[in-house]
Amino acid sequence: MKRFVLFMDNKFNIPGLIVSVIAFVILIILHRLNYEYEAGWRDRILITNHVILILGLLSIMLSKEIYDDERVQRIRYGLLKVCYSLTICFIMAYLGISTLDRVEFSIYIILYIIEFVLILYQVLFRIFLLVNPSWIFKESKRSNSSFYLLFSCLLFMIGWLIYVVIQYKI
Amino acid sequence: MQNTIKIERAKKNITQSELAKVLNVSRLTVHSIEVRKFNPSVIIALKMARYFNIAVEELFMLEETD
Repeated sequence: MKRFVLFMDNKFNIPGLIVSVIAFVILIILHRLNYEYEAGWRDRILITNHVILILGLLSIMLSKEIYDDERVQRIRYGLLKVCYSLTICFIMAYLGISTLDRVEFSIYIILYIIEFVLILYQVLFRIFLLVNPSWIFKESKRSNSSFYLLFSCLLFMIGWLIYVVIQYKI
Repeated sequence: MQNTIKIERAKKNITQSELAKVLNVSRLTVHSIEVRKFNPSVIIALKMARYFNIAVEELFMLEETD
């Protein structure tokens, strides 16, 4: 049986939640205030805030439940696979769009993607713990779907890098 | 995979929470095993059989489709 072994204790759950909520509230306040302290201050503070939010969400994601039994581990493992794949796909898609359509690249979009997937993971994880979706417990017949997905993403990334080097003569 | 956990629980007159405490798992895990949503590992199956003092084959039975 496949499991995802965590390295953080259950007690990291609450501090992670507090940090995430505070960072989220500060993020909203910063967007509402919209003032400049000094040149580049806004970007610095926003990115720091995003990183703190991501760290808080990661802390919740990587900490154990009170009863971290095999059912919980199986749900976590299944969901982590989906969320990691989603993150890679979203980032690849954004990199593709930002290069091909000449949409201006923004680090914030990457941070938003990571935050979105981390929040989605939390919501789905809590729901799945209650409803026990049957597909997550099914033993897959050694399907290499995640390998193919990662391989295609890697291939896409190499292609994208080659395109960028040729196009912009970096 | 069929199981007789509910019957054995009734015989012993214990709740899902009490069984969960004995097995060191969550109550929802016991519930999902009982309603056949989740197949437990050999370790949990053996622990359950030992707790109910019966053979594992009496507690868990294979179906035609398994």
